Parts: sequence; C-alpha cells; structure tokens
Amino acid sequence: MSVTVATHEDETFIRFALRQRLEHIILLVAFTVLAVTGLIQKFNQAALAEGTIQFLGGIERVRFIHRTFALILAIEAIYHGVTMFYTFVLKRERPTMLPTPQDLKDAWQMILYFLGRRKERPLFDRYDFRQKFEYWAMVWGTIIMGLTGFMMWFPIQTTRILSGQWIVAAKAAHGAEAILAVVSILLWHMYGAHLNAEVFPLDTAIFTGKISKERMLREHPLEYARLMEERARAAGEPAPVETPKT
Amino acid sequence: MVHRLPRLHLAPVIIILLVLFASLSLQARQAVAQQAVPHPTEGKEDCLSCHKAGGAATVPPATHASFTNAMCLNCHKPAAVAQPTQAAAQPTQATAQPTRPTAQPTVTAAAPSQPTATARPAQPGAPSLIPHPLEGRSQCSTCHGIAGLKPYPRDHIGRPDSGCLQCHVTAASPLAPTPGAAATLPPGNATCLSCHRQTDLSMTLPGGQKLGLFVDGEQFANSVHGSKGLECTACHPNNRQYPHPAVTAKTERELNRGIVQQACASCHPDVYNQYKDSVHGKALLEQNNLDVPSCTDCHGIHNISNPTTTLFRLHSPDLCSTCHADAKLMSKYGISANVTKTYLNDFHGATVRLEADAENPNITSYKAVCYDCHGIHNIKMVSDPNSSVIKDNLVKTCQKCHPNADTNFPAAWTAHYEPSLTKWPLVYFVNLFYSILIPVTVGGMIIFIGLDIARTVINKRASRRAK
Repeated sequence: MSVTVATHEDETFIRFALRQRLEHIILLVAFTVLAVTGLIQKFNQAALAEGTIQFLGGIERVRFIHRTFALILAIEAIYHGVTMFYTFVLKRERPTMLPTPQDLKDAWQMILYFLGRRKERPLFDRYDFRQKFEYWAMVWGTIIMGLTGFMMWFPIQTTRILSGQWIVAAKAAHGAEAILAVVSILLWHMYGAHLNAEVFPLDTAIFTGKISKERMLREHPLEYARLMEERARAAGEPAPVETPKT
Repeated sequence: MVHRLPRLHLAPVIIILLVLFASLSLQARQAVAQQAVPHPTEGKEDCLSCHKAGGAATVPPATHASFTNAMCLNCHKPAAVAQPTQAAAQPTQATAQPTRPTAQPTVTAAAPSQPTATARPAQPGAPSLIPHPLEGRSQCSTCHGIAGLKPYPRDHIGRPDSGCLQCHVTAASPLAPTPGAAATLPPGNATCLSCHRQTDLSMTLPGGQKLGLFVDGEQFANSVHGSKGLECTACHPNNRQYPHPAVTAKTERELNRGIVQQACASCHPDVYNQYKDSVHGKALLEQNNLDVPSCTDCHGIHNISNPTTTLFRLHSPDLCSTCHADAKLMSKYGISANVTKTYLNDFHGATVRLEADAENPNITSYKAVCYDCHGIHNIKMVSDPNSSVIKDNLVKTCQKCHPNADTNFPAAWTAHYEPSLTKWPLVYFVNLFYSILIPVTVGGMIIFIGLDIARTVINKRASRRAK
C-alpha cells in the first residue's frame, strides 16, 4: 500500500449518513410500538395482553396508536423508496444492498467455516449476506404488513375491488407476518447488532454513523479495499498492489 | 331550691330534644319506607316480646336498640293501612318496600287498631292457636312451662305468663286465622316480602324439583320494574290469595313459561308477539320445548335491568353463549357450539369483549353483538328465508352499520366458520403458507446462529490452548 493512501490505525469511516441514521430511529420506534400494540390485539384473550390494552385506555385507543404509527411507518417506507429510487436509478450509484449470487456463496462458505471445513470466513463488501437478508426481510414485511393492514383498515373500499375473503386472509397474513417479523427481529437483529461477538453489546455504527478501521478490515474488507482504490485514484496514484486476501 | 333549678333548666332542653327527635324520626320516615307490620296490631302492644334477638319474629335493626314498645307504631303501620303522605312525598323511591299508590282501590284508610280483612289466612310460621278455652287457665306455664305437660319451645323460656296471649289466641278469637279460607292479602310488596324475604323459603314442585321462593326485596326495588313501583302481584296475580293456589307446573322452567306468557305478555305485547314468531318462541309455545330461552332467561327475573344501556349491550353475548357455547345442548339441534369462539376471534367480538371487561358505563360502543345481526326478540333460524343473516339478506344487515358496503362485503366475516379448503379457502392457504414459512425461517435462523456461537466457542478454546 502506497504511503499517501495509508490510513491511521484509529481512523474512522463514515458508514451511515445522518438521513439513514434518522430513518433507523423512526423505524426502531415505529416497529416497537406497532409490535406491542399489534401483538396485544392478536393475543387479546391472554390476561397480560388484555391487561395492557385496558392499561393503555381500551381497545379503541390501542387501535388508534397502532394506526398512527402504521401511518408513520408507511410514510417512512415511501420516503425510503423515493430516496432509493433517486440514489440508484437516477444517480446510478452502485447498489450495495442488492442480493447477488456471491451472497449465496458467502452464506455457504460461512456455514462451512462454522463447521470447520474452511479456515477463514468469507470476505464481505459493504453489506454482508446477513445484513442483506434482514434488509430485504424488512422490505417484504413492511409491504405485506402495509397492504394487509390498510385492507383491514378500509374493508368497504377493499371489497369494492376484492372479494370479502381477502379481508379475512389479510387479517390472517397480518397476524402471522407479525409473528415472523417480531421473532426475526428478536433473533436475527439481536444476533447481528447486539449479541454477535464482533459487536457486543451494541453495534454503534447505526447511531454514530461511524465505523472503525479495525472493524472495516475485519467485517467489510472488500469495501475497505475499494475505498483505498478510490483514494489512490483520486490522488493520481496507481491502485494499491496489496489487496486483502480472499 | 338549689336542686330544683337545674331540673327547670332541663325542661326546655328536654322539649327541644323531643321536638328534634320527632322531626328526625319524621324525616327518617320520609327517607326510608318502613317495614310494614304484616299482622294486626290489636292485642299485640308488646312488640318487643317477639321482635327481639332470638325472638319469634323479625329482629329490629341495631339503630332501634334504644327504642321502646311505645315507639314502634309511630313508624311501622299495619300493611293494609295506607300512608298517603308518604306515598305523595316519595312516589318513585327505590326501597325495599316501594310506596303504594294512593289510588289502590282495595286500600282503605283504617285505624291501625281495626282488622283489615274479615277472613284471615294463616301466615306461615304464625304462632300456634290455643286449642282449649281459657277460663281458669291464666297460669299458662303450669302446663306449658319447660317442665310441664306440653312445654313451650326453648326460646320462650323466661317469657312471663302475661305475654302468652299477645301472640297466641284461641280458635274462637276473631283474630284467629279462618280455617281453610283463602283470603285476599293486604296489598303492597311488604306483605309478600314479610314471608318471601326468608332466604331459605322454598317449596317442592310436583316434578320433585326444589324451587327457592326467596325474593331479594332490595334487588327488586332497584330493578327496572321495582324502581317504577310495580307490585309483586302485577306478575303474580294468582298469589293475591293466601294460601296461594297450588302450583301445577312440574319444573321451574315450566312454571316460568306460564308466568312469562301471562305476565310479560300483558304489558309488553309487541315484544311478546315478535318473540312468539321467533325460532325460540315457536319452539317454546308450539313445541313445548323447554330448552329455548324465554323472557326471563335473558332479562332476569326480579333483577331485570334496563336492556338499553351500553353495558347490557356489551355483556349480551354472554347471554347467548349460555346456551350457544354449550356443546351438549347444541348437538341436540345440530348447531355449532363454536359460534362464541369464532365471534370473539373476530374484530367485532374482540372489541365487544374488551369493552365489556372494561366495565366503563360511559363508553359508547356500536360494534355488532349477536342480536345486531341475528335479531333480538324476532330471531329466526339461519336457514329461514326471512332470517337477517341468510345470504340474500346479509348485505342489508351489514349496511345497518356499514351503509356503503356492497355485495362483496359480508364475506369479510367468516359467518362463524373456521376457514378450510371449502370455506374461505384463501384464508386457509394463507395460514398454511405461514405455518410453513415461520418454522422454516425461524428454524434456519436458530441453526445459523447456533453454528456461529459454537464456532466462536471452539475458536476461543483453541486459542487459549495455543497460548
């Protein structure tokens, strides 16, 4: 690595823009409120759920809170969609979150590594396959929850287009998808962002926006290499000969 | 004179106290309707000989502890004596003894000392008659003392001979009950309650069933009928006579049906006519089916509450569920007993249950309960072409609350069915899809995370060993 593009050991890299960090906080709050106010409705015949409903001021109040935060999440989802469209379709930036065949290979190699059949972990770019999985699960979940939720909220309008059983199906899907979403967050997000040995107790990058060089090298070596290349190119130097081994 | 002065000073104080006491007792009399005396008072001036703890009759409340015999009749009047001032002052007072309308035709303003009926029925539990003449037999305790030939009950021990004739009279006495005569009882619920207030009062019906005869006077007074001053005899007209006419109904339900047909129908004919043509009414009245509900099964008996309140509405599914969630009873008629379960799992039912549990009387709730769709007194069998829930009529029923609903809308409710391949198949497939997706996804995650943890632990041990 040539001298000019060399980095200090304690250099930090910008991982998330303020806009993205704010989106995460909105998502965090809305998801939590929706999960709590939704699950107590789904399981309203359980004593704890009913107690919580009455504590919050009754079922109609709970529905009002749920729908308010559903709107907040829907607006956030639309905003997110628009910014993604702008960034990747209009500005044609490199789509780092799109799943690629490499992600499948990475997942397989990761499992081989866990099983002791491989010496090293696969090397990841900006987002590893676990993060992509969670992101797209979130996208899928939000679309399903949004569609089915609004179908239940506006049954009269929905049944002008669809037959009545779609409303009942929407309710079934909304409830089941909620279980899937909450369990996934509890398992996968806890594992990826909190309990993972790499980041325990909390991956602060999503709140501070910054990630250390050490973590970049360990968790996102391909992105690090690309950044170095870009720096070298900007400085008018040849690309660094030394790339992290794959 | 030194000693007399304070007494003279006390005189006005005593007078003031007496006036105060009189006005207070008058006030008390207006605030609370007194227990009427269910028996004539002549010859029974020593009230407290029976009305005392352990005595033969009602025990006065603790507030009466300091009262003397002379005071009883100031407030307590024989049941047949009208109290027009009281009735005028408190016409709608909800008390144990609703005030009697002054226009009652059989009521005569008689002096308390005069008997009100010539033929007197024997009250249950009344003192026994004296079967022998009294001449030369003034020392009752000679024979009836506890060691005598015919001893009196143990609770009479200590009562003086002079008191016997206050309660016990000879058969020849004008005060004695007329043997075998059914007499018209004095009007007023107090008369009825003087016996029916006993919690253990009961009879055995011809079918062998024991029928409790206790009536909670306070509960009735607070009921929708009691609070309007309805007399017991409005619903039980045959029981104006005592002894009451013999009951022929074999069971409580059969007895109940008779009362309903007679009593409820006479004041609520519109409701009764609707009920008569309903699935329940037809079964009861035409097929003599005693499984179906009649008026009192849903509305109660002596505790009937206002059925137009929100809380009645919110709790009404419980009434239907009494029978319709009873699998054994429903199987007799091939009706699903899951209707409550499927209702509670849906939007309307969940809301109604939660709002009912909140017990908030100020809540405004309009979510559908059973009777909003099925009808109230006019419930039809669901296969009846006139049923409000048969497919052809269902949109109209939905439109009562959802005016913009169109023909697709009713199927947004599974009509008490559990989704299956044939009923609401789309819902069945959604459930099937998630019953596969959830375990596969969650299971995959758990395996992956488990492997990662295992690898981390193995690596740590290996590096420790390498050191």
